[in-house]
Order: sequence, then C-alpha cells, then structure tokens
Amino acid sequence: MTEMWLNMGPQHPSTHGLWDLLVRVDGETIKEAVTKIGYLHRGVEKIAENRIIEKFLPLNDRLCYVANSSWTALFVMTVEELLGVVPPERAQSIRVVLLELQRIASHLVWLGAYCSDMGLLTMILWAWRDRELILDLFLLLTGARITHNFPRVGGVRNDIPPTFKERTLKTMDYMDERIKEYEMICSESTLFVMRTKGIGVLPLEKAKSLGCTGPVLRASGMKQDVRKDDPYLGYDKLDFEVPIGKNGDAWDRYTVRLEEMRQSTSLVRQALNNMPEGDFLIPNFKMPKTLPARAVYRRAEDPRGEGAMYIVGDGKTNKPYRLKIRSPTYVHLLAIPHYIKGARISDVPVIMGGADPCMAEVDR
Amino acid sequence: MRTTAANKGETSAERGVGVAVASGGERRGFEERVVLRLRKLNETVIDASVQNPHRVIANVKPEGIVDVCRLLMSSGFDHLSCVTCVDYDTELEMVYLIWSYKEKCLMELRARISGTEPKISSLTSIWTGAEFHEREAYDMFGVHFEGCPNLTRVLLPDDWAVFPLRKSFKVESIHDKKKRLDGEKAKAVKTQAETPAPPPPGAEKSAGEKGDKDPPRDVIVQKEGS
Repeated sequence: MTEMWLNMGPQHPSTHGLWDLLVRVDGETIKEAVTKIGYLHRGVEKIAENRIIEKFLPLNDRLCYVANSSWTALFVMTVEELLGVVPPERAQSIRVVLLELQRIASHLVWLGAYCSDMGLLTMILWAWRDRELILDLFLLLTGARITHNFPRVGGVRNDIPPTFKERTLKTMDYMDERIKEYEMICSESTLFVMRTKGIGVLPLEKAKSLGCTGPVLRASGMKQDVRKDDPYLGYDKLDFEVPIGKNGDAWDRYTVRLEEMRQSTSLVRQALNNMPEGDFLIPNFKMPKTLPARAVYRRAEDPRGEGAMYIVGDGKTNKPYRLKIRSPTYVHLLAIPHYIKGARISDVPVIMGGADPCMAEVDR
Repeated sequence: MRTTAANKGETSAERGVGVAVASGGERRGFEERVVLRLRKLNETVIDASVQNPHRVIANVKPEGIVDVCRLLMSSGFDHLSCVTCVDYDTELEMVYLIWSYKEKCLMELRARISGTEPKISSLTSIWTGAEFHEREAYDMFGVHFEGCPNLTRVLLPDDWAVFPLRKSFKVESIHDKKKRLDGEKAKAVKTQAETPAPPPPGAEKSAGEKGDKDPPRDVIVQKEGS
C-alpha cells in the first residue's frame, strides 16, 4: 500500500498538550515515528541562572501543572542538599503528605485522560470530580488549588491547619472506595481490556536502555522506585509496596498507576498519623548570600518517573550557576518511536497516553 | 574553586570533598571497588573519589569517555539518568549522571571539552537513551556528539543559530531591553544631529527654518518612533 506521513498532533485530542508524533503508516500499520516537542519551551533553566533562589521558587510550580508541588519540593530538596541544611522532621512529614496527595491527583488526571482516549468518557468525569476533593485539601493546606508555592528551603510555608488531618483521612477513605470503582469500570470493561492488553509492549531491557523510569519502567517488570532506592524525606521509615507489571504493555501501565494510588493513600495516612511535633520551618533560617561552589544531583520520584535536578553553585552569588532539570516524560516521549513500530493507528493515542505526557515539564 | 580543580588535577582530599581511598586494594564497599577500578584506567581517568555513601565522582578525559562508560556499564551502572553540560566560558564541562539499580549508587562523571569547538563521543552505543539527552545538550550548548544518530534541534526551532544556555547568550528583561533600545535610538539621533550630513538639494529650505539650535531630544525620539 502507499505509505504516508500522518501528524498525530500538535492539536490532536489525544496529545494532552502541544506535541506532535509524526507517524509513517503503511495502511494502518506504523512503520516509523518521530517525536516533535518544544512548542512550550520557555527557557526555565536560563531563567534560573538569572534569579536568586527565592525568586525562582514559585516558577517551579509552573514546571508541571498537574504535579506542581513535586517539582517545588524537588528544587527545595536540591538546594537544601547543596547548602547542607536538614529541614525539621515535621516539615518532612508535611511534604510527604503534600507529595503523595499530588501523586494521587496527578494519576487521576492521567486516568481520566487515558480512558477518554479510548472512548470511556465516564472515567474522565469521575476522575476529575474526585481530583477536585484533593484540590480542596490543597486549598486548605496551602491556600491554592494548583500553584501552591508551599515548600520552602528549610521546611514548608505553614503548619497544617486544625481540620486538615480529619478531612484528609476522610478523603483518603473515600478515595480507596473510589479506586475500587475505577477498577471495576475499567478492568471489567471488555473494550478497555482489548484496547490495552498487548498494546505498545516495551520489553524491560529496552526500557532500561532507553532510560525510562517510574511507572513505565515498573510496568515492564522492574521493581524500582527512587523513594525506596535513594530515600529522601524519610520515605525509608514508611511502609509501602512498589507495584510492578509483567509485560510492559498499556494494560500494565494502567494497573501499576492504579496500585500506586492505593499505596499513596496509605502513605498519606501513615505520614499524618505519625506526624512528629515540632517546627515546620527551621526557626530564623536565612538564605546565605552565596551558594557553595559545588554541584549536587538530587533525584525524586515524580508521579511520572524519576525527576531530578542538578544544581551548580559558583561560590560568589545566590544565583545557581547552572540548573539542569531532568524531566522523566521528556525521555518517555522521545522513547515512543523506539517501541511503537508495528502498532495500528487506533493504538497510537493509547501508547501516547501511556507515557503520561505533561508538556510544561517536557519542554521546560 | 571547583572550576579550576579539574584542570589542575588536584586530588579529592585537597578539594575538600570526598574521602580518600586506601590504596591497599581492600574489598570494602561497592563504591571503593568502583573507584579502584576507575583508577586503573589512569590514562583517561584524572581522579576518582567517593563523595559520600552512594555517590562516586570522577573526572575523566573526554577522549576516553566511551571506555570509561563501558567499564561502568559492566560494573553495574545500568541507568544513564542524565547528560548535561556546564559552561565555564573557555571550556564546557560535560556531566554524566549514571545510576546503578542493583548497588544503588550514583556516579557523576565530568569531562572538560573545548568551548570553541565542543565535541565528544556519543554514548548511544551503550545506552540508546543517551541520544535524547545528547540532543538536548546539542540544542542548548552546541556540543557535537560524534556518532549520535539524529543530532538535531529538539526543543528549539530548526533554524535557530544560537545556543541559549551558553553564558555568552545574555538575557535581559523587557524593561531593560526597552531602555537599551531607547538609549541607542537617542544616541543615534544625537550623533546624526551633531554631524549633519550635507542636506539634499531640495531640503535646504526646511533646514534653514529649523535654525542652528537643536530641538529637545525627546521630541526627536518621538519623531523617530512614529
């Protein structure tokens, strides 16, 4: 048959943001693909070099509009490691609550978008409705729904409000019930199973070689989690499982993320129930006038995979000499052409959605 | 300072970071074993040290980066987490961050390359995913990775000629830019007014009407802008 190039994007309902997957098709079968990104590039790394740490802090929230506090917390942790500052235990615990709530919210957005790609439109309404409950908790804790600007170097901005614990525990109980329902509506839908099982298979060796991390790598069957391997914020004291898949297909990416949401509700409970007393911010902490002249690489488990920041101080100013942001989805999107060959056009949205793209973070 | 440390090849103890490793070759932790293996490649490895538990740092010569990475891959460093670049004006420092899933250890490799003609071998033969990070480093710093398939712009438009994360690429705020442009414009007008070109034949009359006195500068700027 005649071969031709098709643009799956940049303005396509399945891209969830501005990016483009050019596919060369022979009839229905994909022969080749090319990822085109960069439509949302804002030069965040360059901006960081020209701003002091405190002024760059709110911009981290804009790195990803779905999991914003993950990036702010990561940046703050990187700076703390550079300065050699250890935040109080209570602050670390509050950050764990924030990050895990963020993970649930992020996975809910993903689940809604993923299912709507397959025509399961009930799910997008359910997932976004339940995400609203988490955003209400953020509103209570940080004063904002999306861009919290909550973590600070040396702790967090404020302590948890009086009713927060009770409300969060209630929401987590509700969320556990809801996750069961999501599982029922998706896993028991023949359509969903047919459209995900055996689609977009990414073998483990290939996934490792490509540098995939997070849920994508775990779906391929690797028990790996930065929270376990390279612990931060006291994650090593908390009890949670790392779910893995078997085949590395779109179905496994779904089951892994669903199980991660369950683990996150359990982590929120643990962190809230065992929250130590004390300061939420180092008392009288002041940012030093100069950053030490060395480099630090801090990794963290973002909802999408391994997020990391590499910061270099120059010993003269309070501005980072260089800040590199390692985005997990950047790797996942550029890796798609390596395993999409042989799929059908109708499977492309499912494979694209499996990477959980968040373009603000990819293009930076 | 860190920028000069790699050039002079100081030992890790002098730089104040890291723990010196006993040269007896005792089998202690994984980190120490890796450092000893790296030090055997003394033609390409400038220095290697254990920074703190689970962190190893090494300065290598750019020519031997592929050999060093092959050695690391066989030692268990199987995840290329990140490849990036730091601009030190005359030199660029390539930074490779490699994680070992099994031993839970991070390796930071640094290699200094020339700032005027930056090039280094690609690692795509070891990790396929190196291509993505290398393309970004090419996009932002103009580093040529020899052997990297498809080394093209990834985030920036294809027709751009600048490498924005170089220190020579300056950014300015929109207010600064306006101030600078206004200043340049006023200066140009002023120099034009001070050394007037011989008036064209038809314009003699209008020049005479103006008189010798210079009009206020801001009026001229407004005229230019309109």
